[in-house]
Amino acid sequence: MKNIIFFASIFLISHLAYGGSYQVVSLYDENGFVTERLLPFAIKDSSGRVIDGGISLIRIEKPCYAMADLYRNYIVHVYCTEEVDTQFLLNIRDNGVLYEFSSPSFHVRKVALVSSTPKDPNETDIYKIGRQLFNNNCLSCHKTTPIEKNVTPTILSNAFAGAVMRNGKTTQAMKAFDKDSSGNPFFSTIELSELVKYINEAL
Amino acid sequence: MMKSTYISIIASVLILLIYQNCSPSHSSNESTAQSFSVESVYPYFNQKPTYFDNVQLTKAYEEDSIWKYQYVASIVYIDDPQQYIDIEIKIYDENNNLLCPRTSKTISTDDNHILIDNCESDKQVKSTKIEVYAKLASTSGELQLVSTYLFKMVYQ
Repeated sequence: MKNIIFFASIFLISHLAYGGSYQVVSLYDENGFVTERLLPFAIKDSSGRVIDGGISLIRIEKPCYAMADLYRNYIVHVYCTEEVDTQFLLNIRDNGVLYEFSSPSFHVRKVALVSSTPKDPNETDIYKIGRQLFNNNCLSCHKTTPIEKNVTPTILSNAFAGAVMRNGKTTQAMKAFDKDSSGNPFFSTIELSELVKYINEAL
Repeated sequence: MMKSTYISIIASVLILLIYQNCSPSHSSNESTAQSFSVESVYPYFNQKPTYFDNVQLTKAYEEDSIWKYQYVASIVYIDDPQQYIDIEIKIYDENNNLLCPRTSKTISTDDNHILIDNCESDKQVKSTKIEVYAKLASTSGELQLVSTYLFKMVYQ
């Protein structure tokens, strides 16, 4: 009998020390679980108190994404681009201790007639390098002066050497900057290619 | 007596070890990473919101020369989701005229999904603008504008 009481005490003490329990509460009723909209969830402890330390990590599988609210550290937003059954995994800090647990699974319906599905936020911006090169080297002048499309690396190289194609004719309107201070080409072949892609396709 | 004490100590250590496995993580490699930035894909709030809400256009079709538009919406008072709130949803056409009668309801957190299926008009609109207004049901005063949505219509 003494042993049973002893074990029960140990069980209870260990539970109180480590067994925090949390709940994920949707702020919308389940009919509001729709694609292409933010779905807010609050993280509370078993007594209904919101957590005080904030959310440190959220994991969810595609086609859903998740983020902590910018203003309230106990709220998670889920955003799904397609109809799906899903759930998310959370790391939260409460009273200085880090906890990990999962949300219940839930179903997100696709009801939108007009799709507002954004691009995959993890998709690489294929014009990133060209855009940066253009913004750093060309934009100061080409905010006000036009730039011709359908350029090639050769046309651009000539332009950087001071010869500009305008209406199919070569003019001498641009300050040359085809060489750096060491006499090497200002733009590498790859950079020229990225600039061409950006100017022709994304500008 | 000694044997019993040893068994008790070993058993309690075992229990503690078992619970350690179920216990919260104490990893020091905590990340503050977010899965993605909503601002990059969604018009997220640029100031601390009082309400969360969303509206979606779900149907637009013609029946007996009348155009019928259906929307669904959800709205909640963030800091106290149990609060009842008065809401009003206005739907405008591209000329900023009311397309159909405004929807007024009092909703709670248990049922904060709104189906608007009485929006009918003789006009086939190119776009609609939705305005969502709300206030706590327990307070007096005017409803406040919470959100505005613009939908470019697609007809099949």
